[in-house]
Amino acid sequence: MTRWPAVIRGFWIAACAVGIALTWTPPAPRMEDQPWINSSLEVLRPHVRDATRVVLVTDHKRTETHLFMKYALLPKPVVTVDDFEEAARLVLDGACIVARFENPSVGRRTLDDALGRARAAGVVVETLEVGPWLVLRAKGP
Amino acid sequence: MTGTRWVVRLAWFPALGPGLLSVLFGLAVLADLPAPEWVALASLALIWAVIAKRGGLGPEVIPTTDTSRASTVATAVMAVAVASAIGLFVRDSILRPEGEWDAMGIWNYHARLLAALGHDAQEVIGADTSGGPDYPFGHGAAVAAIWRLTSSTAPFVSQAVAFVYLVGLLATTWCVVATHGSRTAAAFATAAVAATPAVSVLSAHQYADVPVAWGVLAAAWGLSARAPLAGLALGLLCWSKNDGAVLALLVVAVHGWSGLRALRRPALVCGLLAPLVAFVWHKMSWAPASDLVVGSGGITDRLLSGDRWGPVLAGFLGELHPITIPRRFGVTWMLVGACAVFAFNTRRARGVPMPGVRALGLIGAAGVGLWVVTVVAVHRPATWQWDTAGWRLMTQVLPVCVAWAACRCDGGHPRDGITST
Repeated sequence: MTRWPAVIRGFWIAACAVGIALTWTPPAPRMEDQPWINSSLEVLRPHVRDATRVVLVTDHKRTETHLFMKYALLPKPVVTVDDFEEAARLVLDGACIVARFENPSVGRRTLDDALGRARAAGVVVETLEVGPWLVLRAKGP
Repeated sequence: MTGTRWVVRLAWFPALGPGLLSVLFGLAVLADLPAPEWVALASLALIWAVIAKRGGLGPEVIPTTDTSRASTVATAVMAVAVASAIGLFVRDSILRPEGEWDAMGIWNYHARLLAALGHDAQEVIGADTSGGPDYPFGHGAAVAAIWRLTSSTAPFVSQAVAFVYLVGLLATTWCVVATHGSRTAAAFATAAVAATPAVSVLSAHQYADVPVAWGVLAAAWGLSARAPLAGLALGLLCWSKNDGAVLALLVVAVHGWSGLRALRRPALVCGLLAPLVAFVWHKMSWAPASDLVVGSGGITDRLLSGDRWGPVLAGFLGELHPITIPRRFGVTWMLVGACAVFAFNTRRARGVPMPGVRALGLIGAAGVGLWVVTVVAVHRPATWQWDTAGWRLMTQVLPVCVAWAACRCDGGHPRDGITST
């Protein structure tokens, strides 16, 4: 026969009660939520279907953006860059750029500047606005 | 046969279901076999047939008798806590069907690639340094195998695999404590693990830490009870996560000579072999070296640096506080500490703990110490490393600590608690 002293028993019960109460506290609110991934997936997939490589460009501070896109666009190889010059070089190599900016006017202008040299060399860069996203693809000289 | 047999089945199901499927699928992918999912499924069916024929789930668990009132109260608390854990799992799985950060960035990410590309996934996984390219396939390979078999990528599959490990962990906690003690102790331990927010939260996140926690407990239980599946649990511990491989060594080291002797039994060796081969093969031919190993220079300097110990110990102590970060440990660690004090004060009356119980305590204490030192030693910023990984590492060894605490609170006489069937 085993015995559990009342104090010890009470402590176990209290610990379980505290744990259950804390378990049901709401999680911290998050800006990025998963329905957002799914909607991005739906709108972006047709545009990147033919791309050999996808480059995600963003000034977004939250790295969830990078992660969600990487996951959503699988199994396309996705490269994340925050260097717009590098992005411009990759688009000339045939990659498809998917861009999302927290500050769209500055972000888009900076990206346009970076792509300026490609345009000057006669490369046509097609730009599509897809929801909050920009999709850019080189159409060749 | 008693009414506890079904709990033993639940406890071992993670090994014989998703665990073994993951290993077999992983081996088929590593070998670049065509249709690896069918190879894995056929092998799994064959293994199940052999185990069923030999009646090989190991010893039956028969807890000691105890006062009916205490047992009834503990069982009621356990029922509420388990229902709460399952409820939270369901709610969070609805809110975040794909799991949380590491599930999307590593485990389910690998599962998607393995399901879509098979062996060709190596190039994509290896190129993505942020996606844990050195991590073993773990339960992600089980998810990939089922996705291939069902030609879908339904999140329900990864949720179901995570759920099997959650239930397996709770059932194993019950079995471990019931092996060494009373129903009351087993019910309270299961309740405390189920009521710890980190356990149900990480499970719903579809992270690998709950499978590792199950592996530690199952391997420790299996080795002390001479269960034939102990070897498999030990191997799956390695296959689940790199952290698991370290804890597997710890479990074997703590069981010392008796554990090594147990591993000579053919059934244990057979169980250990497949996941261990998969783990080593993955390390040798698939995975790049871990960045924690590559950047391991200067460990001594970091271990001697007060600037690193300070934030890590502050983080560690912060985890013991129930309110600071609500959805982590509640007062479970305080409970373990209180039980340690109680056990120390009453050690004369309660006698020397059995080797199996002592092993649980040693694994728990050494595991906590090991992870604190590891976080100090790695080359990443100490505060960041503790905040992102420290609490998950603590969760891996929490159930073994709770099991030890419950066994030590249990009065009465030391006994084996095991009968052969």
